Amino acid sequence: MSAEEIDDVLDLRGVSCPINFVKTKLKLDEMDAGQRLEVWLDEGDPIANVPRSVKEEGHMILKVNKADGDYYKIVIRKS
Amino acid sequence: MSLPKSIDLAAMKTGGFIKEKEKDLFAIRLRVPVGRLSADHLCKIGETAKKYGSGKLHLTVRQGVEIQDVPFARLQEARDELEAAGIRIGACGPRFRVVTACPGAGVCPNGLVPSAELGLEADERFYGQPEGLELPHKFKVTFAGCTSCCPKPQENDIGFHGQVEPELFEDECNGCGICEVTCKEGAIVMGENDLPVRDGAKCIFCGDCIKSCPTDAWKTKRTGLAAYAGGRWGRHPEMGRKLADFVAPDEAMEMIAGVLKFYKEEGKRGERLGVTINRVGLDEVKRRVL
Repeated sequence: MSAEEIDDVLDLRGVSCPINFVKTKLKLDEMDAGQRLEVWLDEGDPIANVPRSVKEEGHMILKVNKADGDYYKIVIRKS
Repeated sequence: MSLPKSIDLAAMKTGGFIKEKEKDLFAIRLRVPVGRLSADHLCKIGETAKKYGSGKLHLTVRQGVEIQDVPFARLQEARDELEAAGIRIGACGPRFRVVTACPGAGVCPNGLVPSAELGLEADERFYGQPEGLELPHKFKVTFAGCTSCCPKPQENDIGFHGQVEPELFEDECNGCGICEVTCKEGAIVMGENDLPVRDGAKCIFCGDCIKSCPTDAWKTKRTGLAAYAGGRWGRHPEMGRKLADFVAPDEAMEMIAGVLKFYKEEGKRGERLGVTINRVGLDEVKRRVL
């Protein structure tokens, strides 16, 4: 997936649950349906919890990539 | 008031009255299956504690409530008042104890089975001396809603936890890889064509892949209960041993009945189920119960 397809990026490394989800939700609320948000999440609880909550909100996880340095980049499509 | 000499303390204990250290004072153990109490009952328990005891309550480790410091002379009165309000008295001694459970699927986002409702069913059927069976020792049962095992099924004489077997519908997978990242057991790796591959030997049937999957490509193949027997805490703790996986809820009740029958037949007075199993062998238990 190329960088052009990402509409916004949210770096939530170091942000713990559930604040990381709240920030994700607020960012998605500002975006338009179909736009793509890339969120950076720490391993452990954040990567286990935030995507599940995003799914429950009705958005779509398109891709998960492990980045160097023990964090993940997930791409969300706003529904 | 002095304690009459004719009192049978063992018989009183069966009725849920526990003698305290201080002369003439007793604790009243209440029967609170799966730790579920109505607000009305909780208020009534508080009222009773103030009226008959010192106003102190003890929340027990098995989700029960004990009213402390009730004088012997007022025990019957306190009991009558509680029972009139629909609050039952608990048990001690060599009996099938009040069943514990987590809130389960109806309440907890992680719940896979309705553990509280199953616990209530088991408590109704087996509590005390089920089918007139005199048990060798105390007998504790719990139901956990998922593989997190919050109510500690492996520390009970019989313990259950919910489990789910996932199944991948490849056509619905978008290849995102969240299941690989979410699986705490390392049982899923992304393979060819961006499709996840599950290692059945590593999978503990927690269902995290199903819950995390954005396209619901991971689906529930079957849900059931893992059953453990012979666990206990106390002076010589021992973990319960696996009896079976994917037991259906109604089968679980029959499994309890079967294990109780085995325990009644093989257990020596004063030994917990785990000790009986150590002596007789797990295979023998399985042969007679499953």
